[in-house]
Amino acid sequence: MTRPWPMLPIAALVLIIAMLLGNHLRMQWTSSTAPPATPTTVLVLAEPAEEHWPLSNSSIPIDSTTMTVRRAADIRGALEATRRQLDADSPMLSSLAEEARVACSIVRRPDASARRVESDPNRRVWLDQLLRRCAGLIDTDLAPPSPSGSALEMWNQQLPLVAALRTSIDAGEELAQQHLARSADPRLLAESLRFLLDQERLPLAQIFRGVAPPSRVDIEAALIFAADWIGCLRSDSCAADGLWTLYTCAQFGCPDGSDLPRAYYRILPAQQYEIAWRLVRWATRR
Amino acid sequence: MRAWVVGTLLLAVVAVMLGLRSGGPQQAISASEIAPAVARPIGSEGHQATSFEVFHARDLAAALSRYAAQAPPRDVRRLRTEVDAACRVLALLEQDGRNPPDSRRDAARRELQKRCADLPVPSLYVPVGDTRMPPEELSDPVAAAAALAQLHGAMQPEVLVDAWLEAFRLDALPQHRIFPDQRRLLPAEAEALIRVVADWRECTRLNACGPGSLFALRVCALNGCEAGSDVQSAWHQALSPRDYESVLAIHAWLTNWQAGPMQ
Repeated sequence: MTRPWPMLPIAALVLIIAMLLGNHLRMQWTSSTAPPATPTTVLVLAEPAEEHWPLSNSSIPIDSTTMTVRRAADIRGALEATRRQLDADSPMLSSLAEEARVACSIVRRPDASARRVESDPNRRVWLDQLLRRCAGLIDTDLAPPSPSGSALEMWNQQLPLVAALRTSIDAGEELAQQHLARSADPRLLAESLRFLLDQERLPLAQIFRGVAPPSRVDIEAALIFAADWIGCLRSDSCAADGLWTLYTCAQFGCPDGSDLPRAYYRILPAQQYEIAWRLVRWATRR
Repeated sequence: MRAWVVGTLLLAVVAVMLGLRSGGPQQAISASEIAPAVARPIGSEGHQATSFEVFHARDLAAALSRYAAQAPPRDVRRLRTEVDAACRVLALLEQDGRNPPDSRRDAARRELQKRCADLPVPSLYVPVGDTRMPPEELSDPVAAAAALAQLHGAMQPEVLVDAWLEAFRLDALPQHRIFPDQRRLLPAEAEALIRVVADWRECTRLNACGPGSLFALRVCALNGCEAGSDVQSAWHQALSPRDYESVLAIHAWLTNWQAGPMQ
């Protein structure tokens, strides 16, 4: 005689387990596809990879003149010493004076916006350092420069775009490549990067090897940061005591001991940071 | 005996399928599924569009029409504002030269082009609040308290932004409590960040923060993002770590503070 009924409890148990399993799978799937009700992600700021840190690259030639000013405890004194060394119309002198003016104006001539953040503990330590270093600068040091005609001409001669207009695109490119290979002046570096980008002569495939090349506007947005970064590397002034680091951290606030790459890592969107360091790597490791 | 085992297994498979299908909120439906479902002709029988469907519909114009036919005018206006903001991105990208091929923006841009195709081109004029940052910081305890009270009840995006900026202008915001590291915001930062927070809250309210929603497409088309990014992830990619931290902190503080009594 067959006995069908004893199988029923087993069958019922299997069905219940199957229903529960199906419901569990649905809940798992739902939680993975439903939009978040509220943003709950806690961002952990990871340190940039070591390869993003071309700071200890001893093969980068250091420009001692710019290093002296950018790391000076007394910027006024360092500028005076540089004025005695260089021609009065020297583009390098003009650039260093402009850097000092821009950085020191944050603390010496704060506007209403700057005053609102004076008490920010993330900025205060950097503002205090800038205050000490900028002490003694006089009004003319903090006023926008009015270069002489000959100084302007010397400056223009360094610009790739002017070289391209006066001579040829190739001449402009050659000048831009020279600046990118050697200069510690962020203004010339930015002009050179922009010129090569505009003329489609930046080797994007080489710079962005392994990743999709970003759009032109995204590269443009990163040019200034890349230029400052290259400039500070070539003057060994990317550390916490460098003028560009002080200037950046006084503006945006940084943890103690930050250097310029760490400051950029914190204040730039990920892609912009990536573009900047790839440009830096390309310019400094050629 | 064998028949019992086979029958039980078959029933088990059916039961798993039933378990998968039963219950569950609408938001669990992925964008790829909802899009064809709402792409029906305007006036299709018995179907009323929800805001979720509008923000995920392939046929945005049709879904918007259905939504407008049955939703309160105030809700329709708010929803149209967000739709306009998303569709406006295409013109903005064109204007500032971000229209060449770009792997981080193209997918979102193409999707927006499809969805916005049958809608009128949105005006590039965006009305903004009257609040402007002052040249000097003001100090008025009574006005500051009133600004905080206004902010406490501010839920709609534009109201929230204006109330926040006014509270900031009067130095009424407890920034030392909002930010764990006690950072202070510059005026431009305060304005940019609250707009992200407002965007975030609005997409949450409208159940449209997921990948494929108009909110996510707008952020991705403007700033670029990885495929499949939701709104939070898209902003994570678009903002600096510091700003993203600030957005999270402001969002959390506002949510908790507005949920409690005004003191």
